Amino acid sequence: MALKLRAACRDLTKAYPLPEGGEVLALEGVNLEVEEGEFLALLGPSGCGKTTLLNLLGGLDRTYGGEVWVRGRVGYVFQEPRLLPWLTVRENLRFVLDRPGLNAEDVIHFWLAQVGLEDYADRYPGQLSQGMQQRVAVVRAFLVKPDLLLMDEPFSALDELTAQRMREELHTLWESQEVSVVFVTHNPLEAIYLADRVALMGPRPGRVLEVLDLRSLLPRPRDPDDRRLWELSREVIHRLGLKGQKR
Amino acid sequence: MAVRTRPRGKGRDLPRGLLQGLSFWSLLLAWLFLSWALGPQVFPGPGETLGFLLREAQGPLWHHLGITLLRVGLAFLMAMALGVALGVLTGLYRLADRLLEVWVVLGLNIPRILPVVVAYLVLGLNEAAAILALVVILVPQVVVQIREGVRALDAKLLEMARAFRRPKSLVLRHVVLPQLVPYVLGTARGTLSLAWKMVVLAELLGRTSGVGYQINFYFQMFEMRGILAYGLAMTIVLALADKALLLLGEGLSRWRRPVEWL
Repeated sequence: MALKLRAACRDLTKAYPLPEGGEVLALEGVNLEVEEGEFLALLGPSGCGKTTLLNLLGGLDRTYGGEVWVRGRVGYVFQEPRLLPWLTVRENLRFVLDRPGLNAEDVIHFWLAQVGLEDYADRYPGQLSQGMQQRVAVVRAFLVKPDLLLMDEPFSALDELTAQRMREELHTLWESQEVSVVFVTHNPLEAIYLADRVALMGPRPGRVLEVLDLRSLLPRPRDPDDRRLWELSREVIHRLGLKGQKR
Repeated sequence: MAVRTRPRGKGRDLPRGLLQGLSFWSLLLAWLFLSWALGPQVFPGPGETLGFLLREAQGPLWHHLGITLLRVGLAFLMAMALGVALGVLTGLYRLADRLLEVWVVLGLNIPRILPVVVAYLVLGLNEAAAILALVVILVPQVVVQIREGVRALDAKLLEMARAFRRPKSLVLRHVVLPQLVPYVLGTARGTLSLAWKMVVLAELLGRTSGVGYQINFYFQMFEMRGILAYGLAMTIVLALADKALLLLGEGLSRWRRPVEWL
């Protein structure tokens, strides 16, 4: 069983110091496992510690209580594209490659073609739309051949049409690669459309309320207009509301 | 992306070249007027000054101009190197900032002639004293501006580089330095301008060559044409250097000007 895990945290606790003294608990007693190749969504309202949990998994934050481990290489997609504006798309992608050798150009071209941006390699980020920039950010994360891909509300700043197209693209990319994804979102429909499992999180302090396994409930391929998606989404909102208030 | 139209009057849309021309000719006119009002003996006009300058160009002008530029260049390079290093340190580390705080505040606020006079008195009337005094005057300005640049570094981009486990050398080159370029260039322009103003003073007080020395020489001779001619020559050279820095800055920030919006 342990071999099939890509990442896990046990009894994870994270506190932030307050300026007036004392501290606030962002996460308390979080237990979570990420299986190899699975798509796990972290769903919850603002301030429930989703991003904190993601940063701990990604090693961006190293002060915590409990245990976190990740096996393999990590890729990251942030809420904003976070491209270097003074580098072209091609240079931004080369920036994350460890040894950009002779075939780097082919690899970059291949990945840009996956999201239909092969003609934009020499543009600067400022010359691309927000959606295109975020596509480049997704490509950048896949380019490092991650075993674990961490995504922090990557489509929340986009219009719904673009966001839905990118969810479909992401789904295709994920299926073609053997990568585990941890996807933070506050959008229940998005979580249910994309994920194998959805971890519902509640605030003050941030914790995992329950983990829903959707694999048998909603077999793939999934249709974004499927009624069951909407029903499950309402169910999830209901559960988040009830369980989040228990404490 | 919304395009904003400018609901302003047509008068504001005069071509840039025309406005610059207006600015130049009004200055020249003011000079002519002053010369006419005070008399060319007291305040020579542009023609007389230019004539004098051309005659000097056959003689000692290049020697003195060259020496002054060398002093400005040396002091400028040393102050930029030291100031950028200290600015980065104070921007990154609170300890360094606190240790240097009093020095920087003092450096910014002492009368600028003081380091020149003190250096001459302590080290003698020599080249090293002049350059050292200039560096002492310039460094605090550089430190303050670079420190602000370092503090304004985009934390999100640094976090992105950390998330992708990028080595420090690569982060410095591709993430940190490009963000500091506008600050370094802005500081460089200000520092160059201050360096030239102070070098003339330092030469006037304690050197036997350079534009400042020549200005002092013609002051003793009551020769206003000489004073204006040397001032003009130096201003032209430094304005060209400033323009070069400006063009360099534009070249380095090509990415700021999108070719087209999609």
